Amino acid sequence: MSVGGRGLKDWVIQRITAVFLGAYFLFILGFIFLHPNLDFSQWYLLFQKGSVQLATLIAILSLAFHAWIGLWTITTDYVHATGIKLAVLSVVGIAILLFVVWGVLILWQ
Amino acid sequence: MNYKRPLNINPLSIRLPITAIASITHRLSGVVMFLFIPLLLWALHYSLSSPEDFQAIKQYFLLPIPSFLLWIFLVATVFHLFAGIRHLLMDFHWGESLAVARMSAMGVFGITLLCAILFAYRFWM
Repeated sequence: MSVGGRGLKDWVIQRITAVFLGAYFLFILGFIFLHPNLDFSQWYLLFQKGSVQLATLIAILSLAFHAWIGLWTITTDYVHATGIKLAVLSVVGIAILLFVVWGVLILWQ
Repeated sequence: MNYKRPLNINPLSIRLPITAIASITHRLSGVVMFLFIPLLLWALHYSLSSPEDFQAIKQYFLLPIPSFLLWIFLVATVFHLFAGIRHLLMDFHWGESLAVARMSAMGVFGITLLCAILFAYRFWM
């Protein structure tokens, strides 16, 4: 991923995921602020709504792409030895995959 | 290459423009947010498990170290969000002049500082 000639694609994906993630974060933060003394049923019912489940799923996937592109960029900037770079990116990539799976499992637990 | 040429490679001795500080902080805040993902997923998992677990998570984040960590995460997120908005605006050619870029960078730091104080007050007062 992201090796060779994919600069524009990554640039666009980074911006689109950024906008969605920003909106999603503000939605969740807003909900928490609008419900002082939030209780379990309010929180649980929020994540039972189809629209919220869909938005959260998209947020999880968006975060995966956004984080990957960001961390790939950072790794490429600072790690020049190919072997170490590959190792770092592998760890990052596997971590992101784990987060996606875990996030989806939590959403439908 | 002239190996006797004067070298200054101590980053701490180089004064960066505020726009550069905003840029590197944007990168740093992104990494910080990424490192928080496991903690946040863990909290989300328990918050949705049962009323007892929900209360337990609430109580957990009232403790000193967890609340401090949460505060760090929120401050990093706020900075990353507003620096990101500034980034997007510049992509559309707003604020590209040096004067405006410096002011918008200061604005981002200012908003983040305000939110940091707001959250600190909310958490610990």
